[in-house]
Amino acid sequence: MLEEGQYIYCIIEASEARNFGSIGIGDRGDPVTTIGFGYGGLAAVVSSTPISKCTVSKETMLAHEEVVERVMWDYTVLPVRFCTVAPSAEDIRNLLRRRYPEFKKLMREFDNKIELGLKALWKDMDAVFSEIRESEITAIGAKEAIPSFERGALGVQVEADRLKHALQERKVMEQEILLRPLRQISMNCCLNNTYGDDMIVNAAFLVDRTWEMVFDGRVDNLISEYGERIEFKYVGPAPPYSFVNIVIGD
Amino acid sequence: MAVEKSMASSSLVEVIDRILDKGIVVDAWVRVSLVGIELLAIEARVTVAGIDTFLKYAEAVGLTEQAAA
Repeated sequence: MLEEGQYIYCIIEASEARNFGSIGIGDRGDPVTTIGFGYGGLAAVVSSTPISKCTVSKETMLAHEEVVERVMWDYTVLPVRFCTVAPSAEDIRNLLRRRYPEFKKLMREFDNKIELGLKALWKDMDAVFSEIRESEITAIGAKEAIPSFERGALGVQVEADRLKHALQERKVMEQEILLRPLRQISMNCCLNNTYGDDMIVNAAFLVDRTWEMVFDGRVDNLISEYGERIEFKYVGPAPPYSFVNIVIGD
Repeated sequence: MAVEKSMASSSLVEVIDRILDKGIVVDAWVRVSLVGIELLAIEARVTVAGIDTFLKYAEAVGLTEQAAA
């Protein structure tokens, strides 16, 4: 039999023990409970799991996220990275004790804060390409703007790089316009890498819960204004993953 | 409101964006090899602008015909 460990989802402030139901990671339906430490009440939200095994799959990743989202209903959470398994409950209590002041400080910092995610993507790349082409023609004249296909693969590579820059410039320009109204009402903003040619914005915002509806309204405004050419993907409330980045060594 | 707002857990890409390389890291207790994670992350994401993009661009703005002419 494999040795059992404690899979950690997040850290919360709670003085009473909690059971969040049989929603633990893996296919055994392990109960998600808390391991607490101290008088001020820090607790790790955990479930039992075989210590050596941590499968990376769609199911396990979604299960992790779902547990943290469930805990968020009732608590301010400090999310822990996927696949963090402690050897024993005692090890977790030790960690909470050693890092007590730091975790307490983070708890105050993130009290009542949520993360909201916004991705923005161009709907019609052909239209964007045409705009880029037009501005190139305006800038350097139609004749010079014809790419040097005759130079073969190297010529195409040069043109591809030039386009990549033009696309990036356009993204940055539009990004600023989209982000400004959202930044104004956020405590913090984290810009993630964009994936694909069509993604203009991939951002996370740290927002006070009481401002969530105001934020919704601003996203709504962006959609009314730019929705015809830009698709928005709005996500939340999510655990503040993008803003809690601490590494605990040995 | 017109905007549809979904939970992060309703999309694998959203989840990957968050739980794999963010949050509190306890070095000694991370039980997964990063290589496996990166492969999976790449699968869920899309490639960045390159030659493919340029070919799409060339077709969209009619450069391919000009070059052939």
